[in-house]
Amino acid sequence: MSMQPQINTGFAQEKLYAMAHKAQQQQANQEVAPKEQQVEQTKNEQLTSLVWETVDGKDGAKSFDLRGKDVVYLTSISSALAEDEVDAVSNRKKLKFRDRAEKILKDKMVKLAMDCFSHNFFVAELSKMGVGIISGQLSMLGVSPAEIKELMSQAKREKMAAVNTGLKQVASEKVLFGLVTGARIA
Amino acid sequence: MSRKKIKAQLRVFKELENQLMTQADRLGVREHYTPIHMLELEHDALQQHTLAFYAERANLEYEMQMLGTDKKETLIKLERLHVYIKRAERMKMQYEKRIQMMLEKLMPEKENALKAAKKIKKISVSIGGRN
Repeated sequence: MSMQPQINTGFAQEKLYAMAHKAQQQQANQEVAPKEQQVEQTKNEQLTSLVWETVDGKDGAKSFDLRGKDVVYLTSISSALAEDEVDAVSNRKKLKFRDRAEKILKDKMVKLAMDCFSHNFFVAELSKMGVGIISGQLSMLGVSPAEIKELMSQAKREKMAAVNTGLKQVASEKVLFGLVTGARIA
Repeated sequence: MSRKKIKAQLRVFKELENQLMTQADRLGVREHYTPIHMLELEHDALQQHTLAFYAERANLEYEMQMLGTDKKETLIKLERLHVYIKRAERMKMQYEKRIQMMLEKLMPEKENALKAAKKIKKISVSIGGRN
């Protein structure tokens, strides 16, 4: 005997009802408001994790659509087949998935490369591993090794600036502590 | 603040410094942060704090004279600031002295070098002189 999976639609229905109610209230408010404010035809509604889009028709009727999120799953980029899929989607939806993924990965890589110089051994080693993985992914996205090297040197520069600022801050705090408490800080 | 708390706080500063130094070491710029450089950093910070104290004192005095604020409160603040400023000036002197001492340590034969420099100055070389 096979068990049929049951979907509890109660919550979704409640949510839809709440959305419709809210939209109705908004429509009532818009009727009172001046015409200049009614130029905007599309409004975004957000209750939980889903992003709802309210589309106002010409005849005043409203419809709701779920808006897709521009998210790139990194695991899907790792295979050539998935890469083709991403390309196809980006062509279809006019979204630059590749550029966005590249930018996210570059930012992440700089942060991880900065952590490579951490005083904490485990953090440093883990970051090195992360840098390796992300540089691999960047290579698959078509980023040249020279660019990856440049990212690493940028991270190093940023870390050096951070260390310098940190030391200055510690010195300042130490001195202020000595001034306020009268303790010998030397 | 109790002696124990002060010691604990100083230990925290020391630890922070050590961590940052380790990071500098991993970055390969450890030699840039010499003890003299660290002292200079503290000296600069002290100077900034002193300036801030002076500015605050001027503000408080202006506030007390021109605006009708609570004089008692302002006077207490001024008194505290006076103590801090005196302490800062004293500390600044100490830092300068220590920096000077460290520089002298780095150059143990400074006097000899100065003497040699004087001798060099005395020697005059004439080019294309009379026969």
